[in-house]
Amino acid sequence: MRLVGHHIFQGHFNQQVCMNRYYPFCLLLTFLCCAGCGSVTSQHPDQQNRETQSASVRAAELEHQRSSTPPPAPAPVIIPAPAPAPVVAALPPPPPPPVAASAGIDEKSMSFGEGIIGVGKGGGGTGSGQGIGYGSGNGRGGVLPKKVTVNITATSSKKASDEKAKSMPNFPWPPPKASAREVIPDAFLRRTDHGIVLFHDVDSILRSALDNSGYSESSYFAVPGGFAIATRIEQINKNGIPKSGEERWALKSSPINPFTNFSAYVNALFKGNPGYYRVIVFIITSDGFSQGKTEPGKAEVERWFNEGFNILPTETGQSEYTDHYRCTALIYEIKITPQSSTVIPGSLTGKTHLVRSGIWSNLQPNAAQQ
Amino acid sequence: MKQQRPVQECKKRLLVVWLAGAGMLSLLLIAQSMQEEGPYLDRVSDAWGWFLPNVMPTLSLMVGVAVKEFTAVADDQRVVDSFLFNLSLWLSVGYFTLLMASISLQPLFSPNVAPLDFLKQSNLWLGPMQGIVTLALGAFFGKAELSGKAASEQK
Repeated sequence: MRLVGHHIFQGHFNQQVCMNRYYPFCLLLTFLCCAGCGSVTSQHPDQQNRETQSASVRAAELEHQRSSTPPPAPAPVIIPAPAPAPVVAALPPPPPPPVAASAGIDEKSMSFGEGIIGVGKGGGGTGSGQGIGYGSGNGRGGVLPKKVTVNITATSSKKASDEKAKSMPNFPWPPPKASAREVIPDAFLRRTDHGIVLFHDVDSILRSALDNSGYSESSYFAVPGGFAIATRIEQINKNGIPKSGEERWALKSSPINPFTNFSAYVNALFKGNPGYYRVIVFIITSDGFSQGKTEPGKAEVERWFNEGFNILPTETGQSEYTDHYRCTALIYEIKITPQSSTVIPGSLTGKTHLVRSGIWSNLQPNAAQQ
Repeated sequence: MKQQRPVQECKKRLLVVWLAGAGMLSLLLIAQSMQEEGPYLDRVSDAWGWFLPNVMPTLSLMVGVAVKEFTAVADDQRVVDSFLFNLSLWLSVGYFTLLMASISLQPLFSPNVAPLDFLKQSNLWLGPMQGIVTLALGAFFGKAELSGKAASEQK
């Protein structure tokens, strides 16, 4: 047995030895050896696992071949393949987004790591993977041959894990229960001269409208099938109009001065002085969605601003904003009293919030022309 | 020579001060309690729990004594030292001013400090003040004595 192992590890495989009773052990050791050689190229444990899985899949295939062919025959088939691992390595590392797309593999299935080898929706190979956490699998590709699919799965899952590390953080999904919502009219966001509207174009329009409305800071998140923009938490009046000056972005309410604003003082004396805060989240996705059952707390809403990306990644921005996409604004209105701070149902509609914040007027096409 | 005042008149004045002060504060608290989303929200009973112990013991004692004396003694000729009366009167006024301030200054700190928390904090200065007022009132009621003329007639 040691002799056999020595021969195998030295690369001098004796065919005659394999023809006898050692044949199953030889076969197993051969692939263990090959898998080991392949793993040397990468020190990352995840990659090792994936390649081990890949090797085991190949072993299963070859085992299948072995069982379907007479015993003497398989040896010549297997022996020339002491380098199955390089098959994985030899595949040129495909460019990030198109890998899955052109291979016809749905990124969504890869991102969640459920082992599903999705197949693209049609022919082509010009799909645009979005490089975001949730992924959206826009890619269109044909059905790949089985053996190739196995290898690409390994490389693609490695790519997916790499991209996950540098991808946009995911927005809670389904989105937490909001105070109000409004689907932005599509005409507001389709204003490019050229026919194709990209995520980048939509982002530019939204950013411009937000900037003009005073929301100079916002955060980007990934959502299934698209992305989301969350504004910074702002302090508003009960009627939805933002507070003026620095008070708008202050996380604590300023005290009421009875000598300068006596009516507000009397109002606060008898009706309390709760603070009203608001966060607007624009969700751009082709998927329909419903809201979650629980409202987020103030701390969670504050975290959105800190945890999101500062810009829309280029890869995501290149995705096409097709006719299936819609932009939905979710308004999270938070009422803060000394006893509690929770998202409230609110007495205003989503459109009223957008109108009174100034975003609605700045989103309208004629606003851009002006 | 000490200035003296008729005790009946002084008691009436003190009683008016206490009833007026307690009445105003009660109305303010009632108005706050009746709001659907008032400053105390669902903890209105806690606000009244703060207010009643600060006012009711002294006020009920004063009302009880007054009712008893008004009905029992038809012609009370006792007098009291003016200093004691003035001390009790102004301490009472000051005490009610502090009570009123504890309620009316809440909007200056809300919503960062809960109104109820502010009321509880106010016990820090209301407690000693209440003790001083009670001592002064006790001295006032205890030192009431017959005037010189009435005392000689009684002898």
